[in-house]
Amino acid sequence: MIGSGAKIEGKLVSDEDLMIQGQVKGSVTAKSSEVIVGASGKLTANIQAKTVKIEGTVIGDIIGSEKVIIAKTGNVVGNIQAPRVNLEDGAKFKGSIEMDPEDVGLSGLQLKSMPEPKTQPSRVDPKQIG
Amino acid sequence: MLKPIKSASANSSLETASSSLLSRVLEPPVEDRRLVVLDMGLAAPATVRFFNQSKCRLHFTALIDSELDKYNREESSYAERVEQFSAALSLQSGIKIDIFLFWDLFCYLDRSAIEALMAVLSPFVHDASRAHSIGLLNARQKMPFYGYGVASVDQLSQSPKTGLQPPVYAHSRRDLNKLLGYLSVDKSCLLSGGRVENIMLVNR
Repeated sequence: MIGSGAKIEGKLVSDEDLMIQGQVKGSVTAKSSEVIVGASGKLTANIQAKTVKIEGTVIGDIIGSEKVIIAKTGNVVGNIQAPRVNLEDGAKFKGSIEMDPEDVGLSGLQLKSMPEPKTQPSRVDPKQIG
Repeated sequence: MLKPIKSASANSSLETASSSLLSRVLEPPVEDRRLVVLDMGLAAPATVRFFNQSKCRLHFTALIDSELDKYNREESSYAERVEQFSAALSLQSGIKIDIFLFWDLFCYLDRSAIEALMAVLSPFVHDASRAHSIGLLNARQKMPFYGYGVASVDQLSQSPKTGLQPPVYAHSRRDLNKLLGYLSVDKSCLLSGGRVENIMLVNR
C-alpha cells in the first residue's frame, strides 16, 4: 500500500497487488496483479495491470488485461484499453475506451496514445508506505 | 493541460425514456470490425455497460459538460470556433466514426457554433455514419437538463444534472438541416417532456 501522504515520481513496478492512496507521477505497472487507486489517490500516470480499479483521480492512460473499473468516486481523464470496462453510477470519465470482450487475458496490450512519461527514479518515503 | 473533471454532472437518480430511433442508430457495421462511437457527453455508465459486449471504441468528449459559452460568443470568428472545437475534441486523425451521439448538444449551441462543429467533424464521417440528437418540439418548450446515455436499443438513460443549465437555442428541423450540411435529419420522433429525438444520416 502507498499511503495518502506519499508522493512518488517515477516508474512504479510491482509483482503484487497495489493499493495507492497517495500521489504518483510517472507510471504504474503490475501486469499480473491488481492496482487500486483509493479515494485519496491522485495519479498523473499511465497504469498497466491485470485489473485496475479507480476510486480516486487519474490523469493518464489505463490498460487492464482483464478489467478496468471506475468506482462512483472515480474521476479519470485519459484512454482505457481493456476487454471489459465498468463505470459505476457517479463515476466521471472523459476520454476513449477500447473494448474487446474476446481479448480477455491478453497481456500484450500496449499503450498507443500516450508516450511513456519521462520519469526519474522513484523517491519514496518508506514511512509512508504501509 | 488536462485537469480532472469538475463540471455539471448527472446525479444518481437515473431514469429511462423510450426511444423509437436508437435501434436504427445503433445497428452494428456490416463488416466485422471495431465499432467507433463518438459521444458528446461525459461517459454514462449505462452507455459503457451497453457496449461492453461489443468490439468497440467509445470516445467521450464531455463537450456538453464543458463551458459552452465560449463557442457561442458573437465576437468569435468562424476560424476561432473551429480551432476551439478541434482542441476540445482532439480526435485522432484518420479515424472514422460510425455513430455520433450528439444528445442535446445542438440546443446549447448557436447557428455559427453548429456550423463550426460540423466542419471539424467532417473528416471523421463516412458514408454509413449516423447520428442521434435530442431537441425541442418547439421554442415554447423548456429543455430538461439531463445527462443522456444508451440504456438499451430502445431506451435512453437520462439523469438530471446538477449545476447551471446553459442558455437554450431552439433550432427548427429545417434550420438544423441547413446547419448540419452533410448530415440530414432522416426521421424525428416525440420524446416525453416536449422533446424530439432525431436520427441523422449522411447525404453526400
